[in-house]
Parts: sequence; C-alpha cells; structure tokens
Amino acid sequence: MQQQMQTHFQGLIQLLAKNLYPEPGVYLRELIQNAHDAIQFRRGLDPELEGSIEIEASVKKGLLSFRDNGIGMDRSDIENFLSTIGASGTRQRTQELQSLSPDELVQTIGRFGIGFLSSFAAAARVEVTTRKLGSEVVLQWTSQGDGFYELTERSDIPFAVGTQIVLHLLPEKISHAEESFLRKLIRRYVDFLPFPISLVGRGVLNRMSAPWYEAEAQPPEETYKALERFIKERFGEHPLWVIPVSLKKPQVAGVLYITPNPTGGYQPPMVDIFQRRIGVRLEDTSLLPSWASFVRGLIDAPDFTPTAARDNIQQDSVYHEVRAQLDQLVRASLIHVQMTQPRAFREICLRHGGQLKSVALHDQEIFDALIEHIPFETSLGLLSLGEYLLTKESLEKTPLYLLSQQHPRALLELCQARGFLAVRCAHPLEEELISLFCARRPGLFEVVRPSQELEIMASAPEAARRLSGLVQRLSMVLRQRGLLHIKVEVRSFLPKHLESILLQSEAVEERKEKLKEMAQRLPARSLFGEIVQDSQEALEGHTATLYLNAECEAVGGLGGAPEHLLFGLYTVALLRAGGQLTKEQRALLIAQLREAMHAGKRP
Amino acid sequence: MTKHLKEFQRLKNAGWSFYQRGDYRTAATHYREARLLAEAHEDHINRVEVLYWEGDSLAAAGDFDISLATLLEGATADPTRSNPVDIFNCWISAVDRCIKKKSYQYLRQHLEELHLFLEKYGLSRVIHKLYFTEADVELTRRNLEAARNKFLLSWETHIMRVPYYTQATHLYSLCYTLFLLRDEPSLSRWVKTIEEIDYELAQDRLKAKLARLMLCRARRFEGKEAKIARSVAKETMSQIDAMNRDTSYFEESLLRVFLRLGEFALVEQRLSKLGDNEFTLSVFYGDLALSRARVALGLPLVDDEWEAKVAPPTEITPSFEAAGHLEAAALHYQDAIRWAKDFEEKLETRWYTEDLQERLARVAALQSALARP
Repeated sequence: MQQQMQTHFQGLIQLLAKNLYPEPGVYLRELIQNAHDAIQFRRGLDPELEGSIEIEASVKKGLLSFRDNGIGMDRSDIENFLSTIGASGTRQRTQELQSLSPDELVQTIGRFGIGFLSSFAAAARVEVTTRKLGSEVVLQWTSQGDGFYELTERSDIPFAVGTQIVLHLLPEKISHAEESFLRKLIRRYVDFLPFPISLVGRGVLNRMSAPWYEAEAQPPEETYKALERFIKERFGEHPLWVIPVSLKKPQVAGVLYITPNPTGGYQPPMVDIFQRRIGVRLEDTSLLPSWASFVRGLIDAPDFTPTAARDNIQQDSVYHEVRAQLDQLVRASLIHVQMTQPRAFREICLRHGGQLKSVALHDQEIFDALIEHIPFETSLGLLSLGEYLLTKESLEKTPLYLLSQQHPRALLELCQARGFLAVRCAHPLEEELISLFCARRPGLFEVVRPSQELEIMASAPEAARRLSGLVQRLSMVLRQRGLLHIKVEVRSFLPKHLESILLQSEAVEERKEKLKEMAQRLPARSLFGEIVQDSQEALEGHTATLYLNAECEAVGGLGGAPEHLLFGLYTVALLRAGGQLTKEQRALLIAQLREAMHAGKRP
Repeated sequence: MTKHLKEFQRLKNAGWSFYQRGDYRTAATHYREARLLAEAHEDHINRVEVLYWEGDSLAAAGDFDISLATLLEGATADPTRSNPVDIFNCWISAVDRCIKKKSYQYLRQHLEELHLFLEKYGLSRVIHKLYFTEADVELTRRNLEAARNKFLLSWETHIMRVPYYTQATHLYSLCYTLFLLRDEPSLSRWVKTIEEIDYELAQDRLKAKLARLMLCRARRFEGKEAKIARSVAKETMSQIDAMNRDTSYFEESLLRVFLRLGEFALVEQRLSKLGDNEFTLSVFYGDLALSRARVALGLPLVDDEWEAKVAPPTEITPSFEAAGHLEAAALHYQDAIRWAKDFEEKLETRWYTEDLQERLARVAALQSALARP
C-alpha cells in the first residue's frame, strides 16, 4: 500500500535556510529576485513599465518589507506557488508565457521555488499582500512558517498592482533591518538589477548597471577607465591591470583585474559569479586558473547552470569551457601587457613576481613569452635578462653568477663594482628558472655557481699585516659578546666604501637557534639531551667570516677606535647580509646601538 | 588542495628530482624551503616529513653537522601531531650519524627505544631500517657475525615490506661485512644478487659495481680479473667524480682497488676525497706506504684489508727507498691506533687496534728482512 511521506515543515524550512546559503541574509536576494521576476513578467505585457523595488526597514519594530510593482498574484498563484514547496512560479509561468514572448524578454532567474520560504529562517511571521495585474482583488497571505497559512481578501486597503512582503524578524535577526546590512547585501548580490532598489528615506541602493551591460560601444580607453572605476568602487582596489571579459560562446561578460595586493602565491584567485545580474557565487576560488592567484574580478555568465540553492554553479561542460577560455584570456592579457605596457608589467612583477616565476617554470607558453621580461635582483639592480641582453655588446657567453639565498646580498654590490653580472635568487625556483633559461637558450650565459668565497675578493696580505692589530681587537670584542664562531679576515674588494661583509650560512644560524630551543625543552640527561648538546658543539665549529675591506679608508682608521665602533663593523655587515636576523643577533644589534648612544652622551 | 600544499608539493617534488639526479645540495635547499613553508602554516605533519629529506640530503652533500641538527628536530617532534614514521626516520638517521661518536651503551639505549616506538605505533613495515642501523653499529664495532646476521635480517624484512632504503643499501653493507669476514663464497653469492637488480638511482648502480670490485679483491685478481677490475674501477671513478655529493663512502672502497692494482700516484692524488676522518686517512697512508715498500722490495702486492696473515718474505731486493716507506707506514699505523683508541673505547671493541697491530707486524717483518745481511 502506498503511503504519503510525512514532512516536518518547520524543520525543513530551517534546514533549507541554514544550509543552502553561504552567508546570512541571502534570503533577501531571493526575495528581490522574486520581485525582479514579477517585474519582468509584467514588462512582458507592458514594455513601458518602469520597474521598482522599495524596501522599508525598522530595527525598532523588527520589520522589513519589500514592495515591487510586478505582475502580482491571484488566489490560484498564491496557492500554487507561495504555499507549495518546490513549485516554482517562474518555471510554470515561463512555460505559460513562452508562446507569448521571446526568451530574452523573460529573463527570469528564479527556478526552484524554495527561495521565498527561506525567509522564515529570519522571520517569525511573513505577510504577503498582493494584487494581480488586471484584478481589483487585494489578497493577504500570512504564515508563521509552521505549515499553516491564512489567506484573506483585503478590499479595505488601497493597493496598487504588485506585491509587498513584510517580514516580522526574529529577535536574533533584528540586525537584518539595519541599513548597512541591507546596503552591503544589495551591493554584493543585486547591484546590477536594471531598476532601482531603494530604501525608503535613503534613496536608491543599487547601481543598476555595470560597464559591460552598457549597450553603446565606447572607445577602448573609455571602457578601460570605466572598468577601473568600477573595480575601485566594488573591490576598493586600484587594479594593476584591467582585463575586460567579453566571451561570445558561452556568453560571459564582466571584468577581471590584477590585484595590487601581494598574494604570496598562497591565496587563490577570486571571482564573483553572477547570472543575469544576480550574484550566484561570490569570491569563487575555482573558476579562474589556480596559477593566476593575483587575479580578481566579477563575471556574469547567463549560460551557467546554477545549483538548486543558487549558491554555486554546476561544473558541467559550459563551466569547463568558460574556465578554459578565462585561462586563455588571462594568459593573453599578461603577454599583451608585457608587450604594450612595460611599466605596468614591471609593476605586476614587483608585486607578484614570485607567482609569475612559478607559473613560467611550469608553463611553456608563459615561459617563452615572459621569461626575458621578468626582473630579478641582480648586481645591476632590478633587471630582466632581456634588458641585460640589450646592453650586451659581444656575442660571447656572459658569465652569470648565480647567488643563492645563502649568499649575502652584499655580494651583489661586490659583483657590480667588478662589472660582473650576478643574480641573487631568493627562492630556489628562481635558480631553476634561470638554469632553464640558460639551457633553452644556449650561447647567451654561462652559469657560475660560486662558492661562499668568491673570486671577487682578492687576498690582501700586505693590508692583513698592517691591520693585524685591528683584527685581533675586533676578534676579542666579538668573543666578549659571545660571537665565538666568527672569524675575522682582511681582504681587498670593491666598492671601496664597503667596510665589511659577513659570509655566513643562514641554514647554520637557523639550526643553532633551533638546537638552543631543543636544549631548553629536553633535559641534558634525557635520551636526546646528549646528542643535542653534541650537535650544538659541532655547529659552534661552523664559523662565519667577517671580511674587512682593505680598500676602505674608514677601516684603516679604526685601529684605536672604541669597542662599540669596532663592533659596528660586524653589525653593519650583518645588516648588509640581508637575511633574517636571529633573536641573538637582534639583541646584539640593540645592545650595540644602546652602547653607541650612551657613548655619545659622555663628554 | 590548498595553495600552500600545492607549493609544498612542488618544492618537495623538485627536491626529490634533484636528489635523484644526485644534486643533494640543491635538493636540500628545496626541502628546506618546503619545510619553512610547512612551518609558516603550522603544518606539523609535512614539516617533519621534509625534515627527514632535508637532513638526508644535507648528509649526502657532506654537511654532516647541519644534517644531524636537522634530523634531531624531526626526531624530537611530537608524535601526536606528526606522522610517527617520519619521526622514526629522523630518529634512526640521527642515531646513524652518531655511531662512531657515542658509546655502545648509549646507542643500544636508542635502538631499544626505537624498537618500543615501532611497536607502540604499529610500524613494523619500517623495521628493516632499525635492523640496518643495528647491523651498522655491529659492523663499526667489527662484531662481524652479528653485523652479518642483522644485515641479512634487514635485507629479508626489506624484501617482505615496502621498500624504503634501497635494496642496494642493504646488500652493499652485507657484502662489505662478508668481505671483512673473508667469506668469499657468500660474498660471491650476494654480489650476484646485488648485480641482478635494476636500479633507479645512480648511487645504487655504483654500489653494485663496488661490490663486484670487492669480490675481485677477494679473489686476488686471478686470471683476467686484474684487467677487468682496472677498467671497471676507472669507469666507477668517473661516475663518482660526476656526483655532486659526499663521495667518501664510495671513494674508500674504490681506492682499495687501485691500491691493490699498484696505482699509487692515483691513490695519493685522490686521498683528499676520503674526507677528514683522521683514522681512515692514517690507515690508508700506512697501507699506501707499505704497498710502495713491497714494490720497492720486489715483492708481490697484497690487499692488507683482505689478507688475515701475510707470510714473511723469503727473498727481497734490498732498497733504501723501501726502508723509508716502511718507517712511514709504521708511523701512520701508530697514528691510526691513537685515533682508534677513542671510538674503540666507546664502542667496546679492540678490533681496529688488533688489526693495525697485525699491519705493524707486517711492517716489522719486512724491516727485519731488510736488516738481514
């Protein structure tokens, strides 16, 4: 025997409302969307109609109402559509109207008939007052979301064609009547609906359009400026580059842009997805190619199929086609900006260089197009390999000193003074990228991976003898400050103004610090305590070398200088090394500056 | 997969690809970057996993001190927040690095704790690594039979379980132990096994070749073997030279072949590649001087590591040059005995001193033959 399933209406409503939508208040989008659909239906019959949606809100009274001048409902509409879960007025009506009007006329959005009922997630009671076009009867539908409703005729009140929905907000949802909340939601989801959505006493809240909806063709510069303004207003960012989106098949319009904020490569790209001017999924992180982490934007894709809750789009063949085309568009734009706007491209590289390099490493097309134009930190400043090649006079292979992050930044200055081309790779992927470039374009550079002590520093035995007293004193000063692992040597190097450079391994310094933490954590007599101690002792033997420059006049004059000035030779070199300071180094640096300040006070 | 995990995976893959190519220093840099990324995201599981690879790559690149410090960080990680297998890997490798430095008792304590750790976390699939280190400890103490048994066990459990250490790792150490045991038939059998495997890593192919050369030494280069061994050794040498890693482990084995073949100049030139282990260097310098003395005295060359006893010569060609070489050999062996004292005491063994005393007896026998009118 067949039996009817029992439905717990209230539970179902709560479930729908709480689980279907990504952020609170999205039911407002549903109500506005219903209003939009109603206006579109009326326009189907009366094209001259100027649609409008009015919102009235009172935090004090806990009321929120939406009034549209759409087609309105009669008793049968209410019974069929408002009081039955899953029936969609739009779907049924679209079928009815299909014979009367072309598809593009009825650009309705709602499809599932569950959006309206979600308002019970925020309201204790909902009143719907409505009058259908061509009818004099005003109907009022009231429900508390408990599976029961009342439907009465209200011929006693004057009511123009259309519908008003009044929500008596639950005490915990009272903030939904605040202007800022409404403004934010409307701007986010329904900003582009083509008729005014106004808050009574506050005026129109939505912009009603966006540059890509404008019918008239504008010169490209004007369009670019309009899109730039739009991005500033909607996203609050000044884009590094604007990428207009206008795909024909599947149809997609909108704008993408390169964000000025560094993403570190770890934030995904983000795009707001709209469908026929209504926000379906905001801050989506999967539509844009994952390599383009620096891209943001907004698109309207009418061909997408939304999920039942309209909080996402279905990943069908249309979705994948759009994804592929947007990927191509971003690639083409990057190549275009590099070719036509080198300054803008450099700016992009400065903010997102790491990410671009990572993309180039794995993407042949981007590599070929951009590798010569992405700047690196070199001995000649921030420079791309292409820029260097332009200045190259001979056809011979140029030695390219590849410095890793282990090499102090000061070595770049040394290379510059000797006219060597050196690139300091702050990340291993830069090393990989340059090696790949040299392998794919043989004959341009000869990669030299220098050891810690470069040939760019000449030994200076004469000066070493002359400065031996200084070396001894400085070594003593360093030892007194606990820096037992630093060796002091005299070398001769350019530029002459460089007093000293420190060659140390960042990895060793990091390990020393970690071992110190471990030693604190593990008692000496524990199983690991002994090896940790051995390991600490072994690493103490790993010396860093402080090279004093025999060419620098200031160094020669420091023979009888007070200790804090001598110690400055170390701190200056430490800061020049450019790496991250350990806690110990920071403490020493502060101590030295204090000592210098106090020394200055003495008569 | 989140963005940081993708980047982490990329760095880890790049590290592995450099590791496979034998560029251990670059591999270590990539693993370090991956680890710093995991640290920044408080991703303890991945942090400890790459700590092991970072430490291993650093050791392969010859940076032993930093390697140990790196492995210790992984070994002392919290097992409730990381993968216990990774902690185990770091721990066992840290113990491996300490074998000659710590007392036998201390090493045993760690090995026992490691057994308990594997039991507690149900990690029997990696027990072969523990057997291997136990075997290594016994090999270093020259407790050769115990070492052989443990290497056999590590090989056996390795075959049964998922591979971790490569097959050549177990087999090469087993072959070396059999060589020291002077068990030529078993050595011959296992060299056949190590040669039959297809290897992915260059260093494994190298180990198979070195095992073959070890067998040539055990067979005293009979027949055409000297010619074949010379050509294999030269080929192996160029492969070692092409490696961007610490090769002292391979070099020692290779130089023994050249020494036995009488290529003294080449041996002398490559001794610096043995690293800075004073004990090993002293023994090698001693063996080199002793071999030179034998040639000067018109005696056949001898493999001082393989031969348990060397009969005193019946006839020699008098040579002043030989006297100098013998004197030098004696000094080097005495130096080696001094170096051995320290770790022998820790490891509770006298094997090295006794072995060197046998070498000194060979020197003394030649000196007295030279002194005879």
